[in-house]
Amino acid sequence: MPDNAVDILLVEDNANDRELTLRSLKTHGFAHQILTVENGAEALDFIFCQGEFVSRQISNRPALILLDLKLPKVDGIEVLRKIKDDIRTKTIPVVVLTSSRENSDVDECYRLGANSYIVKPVEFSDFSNAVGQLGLYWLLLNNAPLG
Amino acid sequence: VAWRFQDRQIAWLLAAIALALFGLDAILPQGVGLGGFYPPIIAAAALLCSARAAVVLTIWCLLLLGVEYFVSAGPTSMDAARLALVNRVLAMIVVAIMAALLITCRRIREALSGSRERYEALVESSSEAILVSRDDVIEYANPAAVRMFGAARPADLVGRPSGDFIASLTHEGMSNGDGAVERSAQQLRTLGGALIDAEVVSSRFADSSGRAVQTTIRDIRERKRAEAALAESEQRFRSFMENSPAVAFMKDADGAYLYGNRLWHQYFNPSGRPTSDLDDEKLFSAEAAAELRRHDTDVLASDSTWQGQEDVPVNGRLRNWHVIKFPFTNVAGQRVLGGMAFDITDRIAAEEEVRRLNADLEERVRERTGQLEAVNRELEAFTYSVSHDLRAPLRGMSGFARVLEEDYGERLDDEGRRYLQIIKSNAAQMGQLIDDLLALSRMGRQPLKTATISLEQIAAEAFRQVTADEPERKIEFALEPLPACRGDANLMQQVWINLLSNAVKFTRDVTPARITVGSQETDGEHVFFVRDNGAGFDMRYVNKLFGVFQRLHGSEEFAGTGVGLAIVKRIIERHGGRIWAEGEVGRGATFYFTLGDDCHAG
Repeated sequence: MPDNAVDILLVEDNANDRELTLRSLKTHGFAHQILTVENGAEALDFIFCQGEFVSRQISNRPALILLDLKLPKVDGIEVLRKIKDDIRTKTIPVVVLTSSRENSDVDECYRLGANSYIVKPVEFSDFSNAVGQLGLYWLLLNNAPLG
Repeated sequence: VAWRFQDRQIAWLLAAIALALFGLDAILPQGVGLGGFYPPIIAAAALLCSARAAVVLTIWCLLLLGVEYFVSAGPTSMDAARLALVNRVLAMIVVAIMAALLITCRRIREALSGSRERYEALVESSSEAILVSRDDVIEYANPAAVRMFGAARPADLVGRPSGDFIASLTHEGMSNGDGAVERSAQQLRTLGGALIDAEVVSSRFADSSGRAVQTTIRDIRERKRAEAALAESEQRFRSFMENSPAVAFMKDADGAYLYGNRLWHQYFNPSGRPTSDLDDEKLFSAEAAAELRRHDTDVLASDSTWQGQEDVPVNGRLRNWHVIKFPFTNVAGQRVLGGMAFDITDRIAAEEEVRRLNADLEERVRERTGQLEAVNRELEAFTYSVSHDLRAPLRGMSGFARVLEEDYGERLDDEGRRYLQIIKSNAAQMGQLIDDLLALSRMGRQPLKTATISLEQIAAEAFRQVTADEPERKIEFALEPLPACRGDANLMQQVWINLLSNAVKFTRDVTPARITVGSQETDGEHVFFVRDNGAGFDMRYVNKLFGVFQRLHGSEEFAGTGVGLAIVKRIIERHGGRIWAEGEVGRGATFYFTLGDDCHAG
């Protein structure tokens, strides 16, 4: 997949959630290029053009990163920290999409510079609505910096 | 004074008469002889002095008269001129003697009178009781005696037998004559019958009227009382010292012991050597004695009390003593040292034990805290997992049921679609359960953010929230004024939301639904309540009301997870308050709670 086509990077280890998220985005008409990765290490590889994505240009930034927190290998908090610590990537909007309602997670994510924090609703219609709304907001309404 | 003046006048008068007679005798013819007048005149004058002088002078005058008679009328004729001369010379001598007697007499009387006055004044004003008795009958009692014997006047005592008052006064013992003195301590009885401890001194004397006994009586009750008080005081202090639980001792400036109480002897002088033979060098090791001696000399040099610990052995075992040493001056005027020592060996051991136990305890608390922290971390990790991992499959169930419904719904019949609904609603309910459980768990872990809050405002807002989704419900909601309290605003909002949503839920089938929020003051404590007229509950199950997952109604009847009241209870308890409920099936329920902190009306 040509890396310049990636609009949304979805970092999600749960296959069901991945599928439901993608379905929701599609349902709400976001036929954008969506890349899904299953763990934090892979996410960092993509973002920082390492490993499998070594040929990618870092300046081709995704428009939005949907980031789960509880991830194998490198967890979401760490991914967030690395993104926001790097001058080249810190302005990419990162929306934390997680099951955790813990205040400590919310606080930590905002402290590290997350742009939004959304708790995945269990009820699918609510979940679908949430995904649709955040796609609408970050991809259409919001005006993100170019680089 | 009056009679003395008369006496002197009479004496002068008599002297003048005698002189006149003498003159007349000189100028009258011889042989008339006025010598016969002398004796009565002289006798009268002498009587004024003393009876004895009167007798002597009278005899002398009679002799004189006889001589004159024989001279003038005797057979032997004598020259008349010589006779007259002899007569006059004799008369002159008589007058001279008379004058001399008068003067002497007066002097004696004056001297006697002064002495008597002094004596009387002395006796009358004496503070000691004085009695004079003669032949065992009281003849005189001075005012002090009158007072002592409780008499109104001297006449109450005078004339009575001295034995009535002075029991053991015996005259046999005083038969040795004047000046014999007898002393005795007696108990005398007053006229009123009271007994007086007295020291009695009797002395015999003789006066013009014969022998008499003078008795001086000194009331020694006060002295006896003072002596008794002193003895009692000494006995009291001695018994205190002897029975003191502390060792008490006295040492002189050289370190020699002057006194040691019973405990001191028991501990340090069991062999019973004389106290004065002992000093610290003899009792203790040289090193210990030197330390005690240093404290002693410090106390005596600085003239101030010292307190501290001294360690000396008893029966070969070293013991710790809390010692107080103080300087004082003894009766002999020497500066000496007093001291008291308390055996604190056991206390020190106990303190050491307490210190050791405390250290142990702190160590154990540290360990336990570490364990608890580990458990807590585990719990956090667990709830984190629950929150994250338990929800993911539910989301899958719910999501794919929806996908199935959307993508394949047309191929399913109504029953198939109903089953899908059941899957979805169960997934949703389990999601709610997990959320509620996590909320309950958070309640216990979150720190309280207390501030003064308006429960009334919070309750109003909560009611607005819980009825927002059901605008069609007609509820008569009464919110009475509530006092302001200290509490966590967010948590208290949760309390009102849970209680009010219950009230709203359980009044669903009642028209009109009535919900009242208010407070009452009971025993100085504000009790808040939420009252409804809904389904109510059976008081038999009241203790199940606040348990987790405990429900008194079927979920078909009223929806809910059974966690709401458990959350309310936990919040109230974290505020230091209590919660309870009253209800009756079909008549409604009332939930009461208090908050630990002060609430203020207004």
